[in-house]
Amino acid sequence: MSENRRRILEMLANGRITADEAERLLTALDNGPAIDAPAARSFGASKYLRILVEREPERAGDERTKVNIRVPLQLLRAGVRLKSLLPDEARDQLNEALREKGVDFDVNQFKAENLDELLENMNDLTIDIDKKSRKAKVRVFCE
Amino acid sequence: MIPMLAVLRIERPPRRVLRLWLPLFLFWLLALPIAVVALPVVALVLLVLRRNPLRLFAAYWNLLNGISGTHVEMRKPRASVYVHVY
Repeated sequence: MSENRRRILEMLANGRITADEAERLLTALDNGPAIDAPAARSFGASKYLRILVEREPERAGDERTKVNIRVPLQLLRAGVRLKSLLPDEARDQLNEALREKGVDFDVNQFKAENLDELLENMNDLTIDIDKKSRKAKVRVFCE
Repeated sequence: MIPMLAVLRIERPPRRVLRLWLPLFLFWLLALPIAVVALPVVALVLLVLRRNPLRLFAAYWNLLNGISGTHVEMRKPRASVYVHVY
């Protein structure tokens, strides 16, 4: 069974999609090109999360601003596991601080298994930012 | 594996370039005797606070092991910073 087919069936089993939607997706999968989820396969063997940022220079003739960050996935997983050991009051304070910054995110709901799903969905994500005529490109992928 | 070496490079042309090789294994050697003394005390405090010390130590150990391979590089027209942990 291909990775895509398995994921569709998992989504159906978890109740995230209806039987009709699953059927449409499976049909589309059968009719579509034979792409056996290379990103998902490569994610399984990935060890690092890479974040690349490239921003156009402020003045003409200057070099571009480049940011290259590589974070081991083990570090991210360990960080998420450490979160579960935080006292409840600390997590509440963290949620409150995030809300104040405009991030509506509940730390209590985030589990270690969610991290893999999040990274898998973010894999090979490219964001183009156009701010005050200075363009920037952010690329996130696992390697 | 726990991080053994960190390389830090800061460039601000035309000024001097700062290059630092930080032998972290020396730090671990120094920290080991302190850890041997401190860990039972920390474990006791955690037990009083009804926290599982083994889980906490395991989480910190994983965190420490995960740092190896971290790479941060930023290049701007007038400055650049490079950090790599081996």
